[in-house]
This record gives sequence, structure tokens and C-alpha cells, in this order.
Amino acid sequence: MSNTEEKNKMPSGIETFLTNLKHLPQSFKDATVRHGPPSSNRAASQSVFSNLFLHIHSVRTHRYNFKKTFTMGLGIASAASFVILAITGILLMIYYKPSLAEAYNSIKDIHFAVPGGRLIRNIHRWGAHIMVAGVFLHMVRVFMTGSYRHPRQFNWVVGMILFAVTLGLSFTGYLLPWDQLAYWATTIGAQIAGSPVEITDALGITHIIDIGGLQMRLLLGADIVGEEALVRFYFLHCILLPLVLTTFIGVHFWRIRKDGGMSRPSVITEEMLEGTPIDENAEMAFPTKNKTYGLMCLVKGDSNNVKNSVKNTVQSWPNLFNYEMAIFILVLAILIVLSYVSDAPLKEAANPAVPENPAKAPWYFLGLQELVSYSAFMGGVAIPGLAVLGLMLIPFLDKTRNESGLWFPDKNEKSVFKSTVIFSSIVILATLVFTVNFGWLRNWFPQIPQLIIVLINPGTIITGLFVWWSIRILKNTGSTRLGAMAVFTCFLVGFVILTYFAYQHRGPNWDFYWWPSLWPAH
Amino acid sequence: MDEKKDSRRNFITKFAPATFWGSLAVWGGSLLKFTMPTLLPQESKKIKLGMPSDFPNGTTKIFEKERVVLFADDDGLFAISTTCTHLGCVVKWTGRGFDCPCHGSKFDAQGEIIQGPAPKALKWFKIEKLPSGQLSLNLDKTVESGVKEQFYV
Amino acid sequence: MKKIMFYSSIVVIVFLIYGAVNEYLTTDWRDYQAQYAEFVDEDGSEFSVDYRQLVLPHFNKIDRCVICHVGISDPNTKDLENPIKVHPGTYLDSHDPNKFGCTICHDGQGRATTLEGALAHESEKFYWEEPVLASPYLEANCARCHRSEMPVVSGTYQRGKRLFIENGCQSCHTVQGRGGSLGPELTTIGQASFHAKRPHHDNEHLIEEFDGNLNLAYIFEAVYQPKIQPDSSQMIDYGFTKEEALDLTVYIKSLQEYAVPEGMIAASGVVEESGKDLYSRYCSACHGKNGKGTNLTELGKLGPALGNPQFLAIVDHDFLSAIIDGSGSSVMPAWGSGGGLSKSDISKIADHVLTLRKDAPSYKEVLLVGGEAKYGRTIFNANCAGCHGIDGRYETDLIGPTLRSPQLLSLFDNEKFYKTIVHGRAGTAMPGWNFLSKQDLGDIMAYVESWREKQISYNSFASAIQYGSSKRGSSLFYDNCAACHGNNKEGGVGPSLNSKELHTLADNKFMYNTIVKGRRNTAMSSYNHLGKKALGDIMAYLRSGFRGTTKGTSKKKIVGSEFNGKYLFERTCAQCHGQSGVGLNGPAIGNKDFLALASDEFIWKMAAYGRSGTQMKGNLHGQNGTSDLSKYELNDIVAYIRTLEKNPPQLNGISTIPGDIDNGRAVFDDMCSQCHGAGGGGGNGPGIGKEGFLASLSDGFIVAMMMSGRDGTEMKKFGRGGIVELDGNTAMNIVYYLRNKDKSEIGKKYLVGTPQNGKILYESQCIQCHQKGSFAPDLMRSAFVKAAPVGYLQATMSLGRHQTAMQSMIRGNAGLTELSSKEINDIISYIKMGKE
Repeated sequence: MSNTEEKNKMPSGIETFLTNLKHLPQSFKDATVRHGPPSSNRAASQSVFSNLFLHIHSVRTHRYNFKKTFTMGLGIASAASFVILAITGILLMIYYKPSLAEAYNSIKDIHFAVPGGRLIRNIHRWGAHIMVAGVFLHMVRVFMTGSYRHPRQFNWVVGMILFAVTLGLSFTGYLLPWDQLAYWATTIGAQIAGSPVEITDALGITHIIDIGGLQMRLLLGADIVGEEALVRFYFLHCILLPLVLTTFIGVHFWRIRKDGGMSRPSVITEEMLEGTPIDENAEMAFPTKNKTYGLMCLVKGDSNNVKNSVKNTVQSWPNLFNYEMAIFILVLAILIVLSYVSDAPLKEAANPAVPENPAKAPWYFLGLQELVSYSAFMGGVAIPGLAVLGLMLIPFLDKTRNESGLWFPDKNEKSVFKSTVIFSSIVILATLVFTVNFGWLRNWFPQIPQLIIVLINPGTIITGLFVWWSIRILKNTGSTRLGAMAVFTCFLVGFVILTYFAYQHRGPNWDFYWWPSLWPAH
Repeated sequence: MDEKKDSRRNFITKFAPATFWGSLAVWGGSLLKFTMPTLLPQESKKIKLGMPSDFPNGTTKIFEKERVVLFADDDGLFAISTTCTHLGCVVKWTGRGFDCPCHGSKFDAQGEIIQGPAPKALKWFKIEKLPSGQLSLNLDKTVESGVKEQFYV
Repeated sequence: MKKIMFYSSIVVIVFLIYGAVNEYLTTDWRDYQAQYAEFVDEDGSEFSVDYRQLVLPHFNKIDRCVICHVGISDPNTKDLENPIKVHPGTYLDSHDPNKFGCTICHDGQGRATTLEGALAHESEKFYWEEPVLASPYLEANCARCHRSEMPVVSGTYQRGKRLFIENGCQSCHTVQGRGGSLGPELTTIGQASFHAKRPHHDNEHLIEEFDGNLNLAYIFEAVYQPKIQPDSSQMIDYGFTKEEALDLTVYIKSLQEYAVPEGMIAASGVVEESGKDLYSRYCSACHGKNGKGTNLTELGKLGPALGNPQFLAIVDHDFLSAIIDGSGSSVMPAWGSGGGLSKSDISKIADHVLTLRKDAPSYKEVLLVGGEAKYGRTIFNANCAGCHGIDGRYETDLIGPTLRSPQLLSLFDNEKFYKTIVHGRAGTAMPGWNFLSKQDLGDIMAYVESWREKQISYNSFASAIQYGSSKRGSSLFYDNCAACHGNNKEGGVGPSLNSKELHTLADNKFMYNTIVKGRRNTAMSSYNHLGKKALGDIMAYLRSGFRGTTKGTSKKKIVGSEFNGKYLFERTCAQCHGQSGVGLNGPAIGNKDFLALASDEFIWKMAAYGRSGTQMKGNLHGQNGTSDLSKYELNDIVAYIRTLEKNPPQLNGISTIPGDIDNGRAVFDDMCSQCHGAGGGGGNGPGIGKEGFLASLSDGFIVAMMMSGRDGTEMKKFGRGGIVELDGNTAMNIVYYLRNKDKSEIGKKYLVGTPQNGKILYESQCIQCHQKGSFAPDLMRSAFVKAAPVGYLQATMSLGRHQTAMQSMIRGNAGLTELSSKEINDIISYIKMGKE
């Protein structure tokens, strides 16, 4: 068949097709980029409407948010490390084989034979540390600047969930290399999950309802850490927990926007804003004095930002974007450098017959491990559960509408913080010194019932003293904020000192040593 | 001094996004390299056969797992792959030739195509003599069709 | 912000590029492979630089050693430098690396691609439990596949194994389910994690010496300086030299349970170990290499000396086996159930222990020394009188029987006495006195000989017949002979003496030899002790009715074919007289003493014309006998029988007479078991049902003992005129029963005394030393009580045990105390029964 015949038969169709083909690059670009530079107001708003970034963040961002000493970029750093963890984690899944026979070997392969495998694994390991630290410090920052207050109570709760899920991710990831470190840390963790059995045993109702055993079985899929546990942890680490975390990160970010951006003090002076980006044209931007919303034609009202001035705001794009990307690349750079400096640990293959001694949990669980050494249930379940619950409820119990967005805006806050640091340090150190030197009830009365030890041990005594102190502050100052400050500071100091103590001064058999170099060779 | 500082700052401001995207690209590249398999988890491709005298004329030995058939005729020893050159099915030795069950390719006793979609004749593998006098079939090395080796001295 | 972004990005780029360079340009293995590629061919088309590995799914291993050692199976590279040079030696000819890989022999981290990672020396730093082993430790890994027969490489392994066996390491340590339980199990010590086993921190230099291999360092320290490990206080310091310790380290390192597929294990025949090796392996650490015992002061325990002659004299194989099998002692493990030894292993060890017994001088040697009775008496009273009474005279309250019983003396010739003294009587208190010198034995033999009545001479015997009274003879015959030969000489167990043919053929000399000297190995014992007058009377009675018919026989030799005779004998005579004439229903005509008396003519005529009054019929043609033989055939038979004199049939321990086992059992239970125990297991009387007893005595002896009793002992006469009159067949049935009963019938009847009294005595005499935890063995352990025969206990208590704290307890033996035999039996019955 000749071309002419073809043309004569269906001239229009072929022509259209060829024209489309010719315009293909341009139309693809139009569909992707959608609009040109914001040369007009319309084009500008168009570009906002079609930009994902500007739907996560508001179009304009207050300059106070960029103040380095305020947020220190901790939230973004946590999010950035999560993104890096997700990317490296997905890549590691290509080589990792979740089975008893292959798990350890596949990690060795990643370390030795996969191109860049050692780097990727190190980044993943360091990323986990950075993320836990970032999330924790972010929480401290939010509390200390009072940013949990109305209307951000809910986001504080979401943040607590994110904190818990982050720890969960870290814990579940610990088992996957199936080495000695992983195996024994997980065994201990699973036993903590099973520790309510102490209470049910003491009450004699274990045969009726065995909460601890149930939790442990649910976690391990068996009574011991084995292949079932490995698959369960793999599932939790790679599917369930990342899914939960991603979902709540979405909620967390979205709430920031819905709660009117980040908290900031009511009066902001120019000095406070030094070093932040400036938009000379901010005054020219439209104030959102009358902005209203209408939802599905059902309700209408003022939006959050009504009456908020656009003064001291800047365009989110590219200022905020650059800020976030800078933090991201900073985190990445730190991780890469750390990864070259130090390898992620991979000890001997798991040997269920020979425990590591001491079998220490990852650093962020060491404080708990110290408490667990007195009573598994109190230290592993009750006290941390109480702490997380208490932290979650802080914004609902402290409803004072003080300044937020400033570090210690009130003089009293600082003095309460200082006195609480001193008090809690003394309490913890004294308890530890006493326990190390004199032992505890079991050493004096070997026949003592377990229930008494569960109820009266260094962990519960410290907790009790903390509660007493906080109530005293609350009573004396009459301020719920100061009471909250006392509780939170106690929690903070407890976490830091116990973690340090367990990390540095606990050796084989969980005995006290001044330095690891003094540990006896077993 | 200030000018220098300023110019440096300008330089940085100007190139920061570029270095940012550049670094992401480098990192992305390293991640891509990570996914490339370097070591194939396969067992040795050398099969120890035994002494030449173990293979008198007329021998046909099928190695099912290794997918190869070993023949001995007047001209010597040769080994023909049983992996179909079309889409990798295993062809079956019928006694006169090879038939592929998947898409109907047929090969003759020397592995040449008789019919079907297969684009090439079946591969011939190299038979080597080890220093110990034993024969070894090297599945990593192919020889041209029709190359038969005489190992009797 | 831009600054952070800029510098961070630069850092990212720089480090990633640095990493890529590191990985692709400066890696060692790439250099090695490049060198090899150049060596293989100049243009490099044959060999490409790439990751390389050996995939070994059957071990669940991947060995990447070949990533550097590329020329490992290329003989052309023999002149190159490591790592690309060929493997030394000819190992790879039989160990195809594609099949076995590298780490199965060398250990190390196969998956690593760097030298440090692969060697993993300093296992703690590299977190790898199996660092590469250097020679000679490498040899330990051969045992992973070469399970039973290890190839000799440098001999280190073999020397170590020898040391391991000879020093009795398994006396305390279990390996593969076999061994003691005092020390930790060693089955997988060669794979022990350094988390569990590591050298003491004072020994850091050892770790360095062993290239950071903590397992090797630990093993070496454990054998070389066992005292340094704080909790291993039980381990004995053997004082090995450093070389020995290194040899042992190699062997102990090989103790692993390494998963190797079936097909790869080198031919694994079970190596049979000799009793000696088994003893070394499992016993020598406590009992000494030569059974001399050890003083394990570290354990606070004394390993008893098994080589002690007194001990060896009284133990038997069964008792040793029982003790080894399950001692139940707190110190000595039960080797059967706990120690994993098989019955045959235990039996071999017991056999080996028994070989520690000294060989007693042979009877011939003893005869040659020619003892003197007066010295013999002294020796007897020093060694034997404790049980057998001063001068062997009967006293009540003795453990051993009197030896002066005329029946015994007539039944027992000197050789039998010798045998009993030297070998003892298993299962009774009579130990084997094999450690006596030949002079001592000769003296004792001479002394025993002095007890015998002087043998009546033929002349006085012959003259006594002249004056013999048939009437008196009849009554004497009734008392002494009728049990076997019938009330009226008609025969019973013994042959009829009423036969015309006998009296025709048997002259007085024949009769004299038979009656006065007895016929050894048959029930016919010597009756010398009756005195010449009585014998004359009996002879008169015997000859009554046949007076004057006696003709005797000529000494003329009958010539015939022995070969044909044997054929005929077995077809005709053996039915009654047994193979080789050992005797069945018919008399034992193969008996040496009989043949010495009977001339060829005697035998020929008996065979030809028979013996009236007995089953023996004439076999000559025309005599209507059992067979119909020609004169020449009879000649042949006689010629054959004559050969038996030189090759006498072995009689001891063989039951020759078939009998009725049920009848035997019933009578034994009824009459004998009260003293001899159920099944003859022993009680107040000796354990005549025991193998050791039966093996040393002929049927005839036992029957004779039964029929005539043993004066001076509790053994009464059970023949005619005895407390019960057994007939000959019944006696034979009893013997048949004793020999053919099932072992399980041997009862555990230990009613030797009164436990109540024994308890009092035990608590006053024994408990000082034998209480639990003291240095002497705990006698109340159930396993010991079960295994120890009464005789063993009696002998130990009566004799004491030289070179140990155990001294004689019996009266008159100048020991610890002076107990009567009854009291000893009381104590034994307490030990045996008091502990219910």
C-alpha cells in the first residue's frame, strides 16, 4: 500500500496523530510543570494550588520559625532521618533474608560483597540513632517552649505516638541481623513484654488470665526468640510500623498547618528575628483579615489565621523548602561521615546457648534496663507506661495560657527547672549509690514475697519521690505549668542519668564497675 | 575582606541548590549501584566427570541438574546444553535429537535447529582435562558446535 | 541555611566519591586478581577481575577466599607469591574446593572479602568465633569429616589423642555421650563460644600466642595451667610439657559436632577399642595407669588401687562389671547408664582389670621346688587358718570348710588343691592366692600332702583280702559303696559289680588301683582312708560268688586301625560312652586312670562279650549285642580307645550326662537350696550353682560329694545311709540341673546371719571408716550392695586388703578386731539386707 492511498483514505486522523507526536515534548512539559513562572497573581495562586509542598506547608511562613535557636530544626531532622531510613531500609530489603539460616549471613554479604552495602547498612544504623535522638530532643524542645498548649494539644499526643512508634521501629530492627547482640537484647525485650506475669503470679491469677504470656506470644509467635519471632519482627519493622509512622507523620505535619503554624510568642521583636530570611515585600502581601472557610457548603467561619498579620512572614517556597532540604542534606552528610567513621555492630551469630554478658539493650532503652534490673514489671511496663501516659496528658492537665514559643519565658520556670534538676539528680544518684553498695530487699530478706519487691524497689521509690516533688511544686506555686515542668524535668533527668549509668557503670552480671576497662574477663 | 566574604557568600548561595541536587544525584547513583548483583549464588560450574576411560564410544550421560548431556562417539567427547535457546525451557533428549516442550522447537543430535522458534543451535560446553588426568566439564566455557575432543592417548 | 546546604552537599559528594574509589580502585583483591590476570595471559581476555566465591549449599556456606586466592587450583602458579599461588601439597586432589570449600578445613570467615575479615584473628575484635587456624591446629578440623580414621599429617593430632586416652581424660569428661561426669562435657569444646569459655585475664599473652583465637587459648590453658581457671578447681594438673599440651590442644580442638552431610564423612567404621585402651580412657585418671591407684587429693578422694593383689584375688568378672556398670557412688559414675559405655565395653574393662592379676606359678614349677610340710604349715596358719582353722582342723564358726575331711582329701588330688588355692573359688569367700610365691605354694602343697593317710600298699591290700570277711564286707559296702553301686552290687550310678565278666577280667591289682587310688574325674574316689582291713572285707564281699574265677588279662598289645576304630567307636560305643569315651549312660572308658589299668585284652573282652547285669552287651559277631562286629573291628576299636590315654577327653565343666532338668530342679530346691541358695547362688553353703564353681569340677566330683558328704562340714551324706537317700539318677539330674539352669534362676539368698546383730556390730566396728563421705567406700550404696557377692565381702573382711586401711577383722588374724565368722556373716547380712 502506498502512502498516498493511505492519506486519501484517512487524511485527518493521521495528520492529527502526527501533529500530536510533534508536540509531545511540549505537552508533556505542560502536564508536568502545569504553569509558567508566577508572572501574574493568577499564575501565582495557580502554582500554589498545584504544589504539593505548599499543601503540606502554608504559603507563607513566619520568620520566627526560621530562628535557629528556637526549633533547632529537630523535627525536620527527625523527619529527614526517617526518609533516609526508609530509602536505605527498602534497599536493604533487596539483600536481607528473614530466616534463621540466612539472616546473619545476608548481613555479612551486605557488609562484604554488596557494592556500597556496608555504607548503606551503616547509614541505616546511624539513622536509627539520630532519629531516636532527634525525636526525643524535639519533644524536649516542644515541652520547654510550652508549645504543647492550646491549640496544639492533639499534635502533642500525635507526637508522643510518633515517639513510641519510633522506639518500636528501632527495637524491632534490632533483631533482624540475628547476631548475639540482637538475639539477647530481643530476648530481654520480649521478657519485659511478658513481665506482667509477675503481678498475675503474685495475685495467683496467671492460669485465668496471663497478660504477660499473651503479649510475649503475640510478639514472638512462640515462647522463645526463634524463626517466628524473626518473621514477626521483620513484618513489624518493614511494613506495619513504617505504615503507622508515615500515617501519623502526615497527621503531625497537617496539624502544624491547621494549628496555625508553629507556636511563637505574642510579642516578637526584631532582635529575635535576627538571622532569619526576610521578605521585603511581606507588607505588600495580602493580609488574610477576612479569610473565611466554607466546608462542603455546610458550615462557614473564620479560619485560623484570621487577623494574623503577614508581617514578618516570608514565602515558604523556596525559603522553607531550602531550610528543610538543608537540614536533610546536613543529616545525610552527618550519617555518611559517621558511617565511614564507625561500622554498625555485627557480633557473632546468635547463640541461644550462650548469653552475651552483659547483654545491653540499645542506649535509649538502657535507662529502662536499669529499672528492669530491680523489677521487670515495674521497670519495663508500669513506670514507662505511666511516664508515656503522663507525658501525653500534660497539655490537658496544664491549661495555662502563658507565652509559648520561648525557652523558659517565665523566670519561675527556669528556677523550678534548676531546682528539679538538682533534686532529681540527688534522688537518683542516692538511690543508685545505696543500691550498688547495700543491695536491695532480696539481699536482706531472701524469702521476701515477689509482690513486695515489685511494689517497693528503687524504680518505684524514685518514681514516688518524683511524683511527691511535682505535687509539692504544684502546691507551692499554684501553677500547673510549673508542676508539669517539674514532672517533665524529673523524667528528663531520670532518663539521662539512668541511661548514662547503665551505659557506663554496668558490667557483666549487671554488676557495678567504674569503667568498662575494669570488667573481669569471664 | 568584606567583599571577599560577600563574594564567597554569593557563590555559596548561587551554587548551594546545584550542589544539593548534585549530591542527591551522587547518592542516588550509589544507591542504584547497591542494587546491582555482584555475586551470583550458584554452585561451581565445573563438573568432575572421571577418567576418559569411563566414557567409551556410544556413552550418553544426562546431567539433569546441570542441564547438559554428555556424548561420546568416534570423534571424541562433547557436551550439549539442554537449555533451549528460545526462552530457556529444558529440552528433552529423545535419543535422536532434542525436543523443547514449551514452544515446539526441535534440534538434531548435534543441537542444530530443525524446526520451531529457537534462534540458535544448542550450546556446546568445553570439556577439559585436569592435571590429574580427570575430565571436567566447564559450563562457563562454550565451544563451537561440532568440536569434539579426543582424550584417549 | 544555604551555607549548611552547600557544605553538607560537598561533604556528601566527597565522601561518596571517596567510598567509590576505595571500593573499586584500592581493594586488595582487585590487585591480586589483576596480577593473576596478567599471569594467565597478557591481553587479559581469559580472566576478568570480578567477585568470586565458592557456593556450598550443603554446608550453608559461601567461601569467598578464592577472591584473593585465585590460583588456588592452578598448578602453574606454584612459583608465584601468596595469595595467588596454588594450594601447597596434594590436598586439593582429594578435596575439590568446589565441593568442600576452604573454611571446612581452615576455619575463618568465608564470606569476608578482606584479609583481616577472613582471618578474623582476634575473634573478639572481628566478632567471629572461628578464626583461621594455623598449622598444626588446622589438623583438628580434619576430624570433621575423617571421623574414625584420621590421616597422619604431622602426627600432632595422633599424639594428642594418645595423651587424651592414656591420661584418662574421659574418666571425668564426657565425649559423645561416653565418659565421666566430674568434669565439664567436652563433646563440643572445640566449638565453644568465647562468651562461655575463654582464658583467664591473667593469661592475655596466651590469646596473643594463639592469634586471638580464644577457643584455642582456652583449651591450651585448661590443659597446661588448669589451676588458673578459678572455677575449675577439680581439674588435676598433669604437669604436661608445653609440647604435650599443644598436642592435646590440637586433639581437643577437634572435639566438635560439625554438621557435615552424610556423603562427605570419610568411611566411618566403628573402631573397636581394646580393654586396655578403654581402661586408660575411662578409668586411669582415678585408678592409676597400671591400676596402682591415684591419690586425687585435689578431689579429696582416693582412687582405689584396682591392681591390689588381694582385691584382684577376690573379685570376679561379674562383680567388676556390675560395679563399673552402675556404682551409684557419689564419686564414681555409673558407666553403663551415665557414662555411656556398652555392656561389651564394660566387660572388656573388667577383663583388662583381671589381667592385672599376677600369673601364679604353674603347677609344674610348684612341683619342682619340692616344699617342706613344716614351712607349709606356718604359711597355712598365717594365710588360711583364719577361715579354714588352725592346721585346717574343723572348728565351728569358721567361714571356710575344713580341709581335713577324708572325702575331700580322697577326691582332691594335689593338682586340684593347687588349682583351688591359685584360682580360688569364684563366688565364694575363697580368693585365688595367685600372688603366693612358688616356694610358698610348694610348701603348702607339701603340708596338704602330709594330711593324707598313707597309701595302703598292694601287698597289704592283697593279704587283707585273704582274711577278709564277706559278711563284714557286706555291711561296709552298704555304708560306703551302695550309694553308687547298688545295695547288692547290682549297680546304680556306678557300674554293676556283680558281673561275672568283671571278676574274670579284673584282677586284684586292678581292684586295688581302683579302690585305693580312686579313679580321677569320676565319682569313684579313693577309699584309702577306710583302712586295709575294711578294704579286705569289702573285697571279700565283692568277690563272693566269683571266687576262683579271676583270671586277669595279658599285657599283650592288640594291633588295629585307630582310624577305623574311631569310626566304629563313634557309630556304636559313643551312644553310651560318649564322644571320646567321656562317659554318658555308660562309664567313662576314656578315663586316663581306667586306661592305665585296663589292658587291651580287658577292653577287647568287655567289648566282645559284654558285662552281665549292665547295659553292656557283647558286640562280637554272634553275641547278639548292640552291634555285630568282627574280631578285627574290635581290634580297631581297642586300638582307638588306647589312643585316648594320650589325648584324654576334657571333662571339667562339661556336662556329660543328660538328665531330667525338672526333676533336678525340684530335688535341688527341696534338699540343697536351704544351704546353697536358690539355683546354687550360695548361702551358708558355697555357691555351687555359679559358673566359676561348676567350671572347675567334674560331674563325678559333684556326685561323689553329694553321695558321700564331707565330714567335718555341714555337708551331709546324701547317698545310701545318709540323711536322705538319693539314688544315682537323681544325683545326676541335680548335676544336670546345676549345669543347664538359666542364669536367672540363681537366687539372691543372703541368709548368712542375723542382720539385727550385724547392725550392732557394723555400727561398732565398721562405721568409723565407712560412713558416707569418709575415705573408705560407702558400703550402703545400693549399687554396691547389689553387686558385691557374699564371698567377696567375707573374703575382704577376713583377709583385709594389703596396702589399704582395710585390715583383717577375723579372730586369730591379728587384725583390727577379732570377730567370729558368725559375726562376720551377721554384718554381711546387715549390709545386704539391713538397708531395705
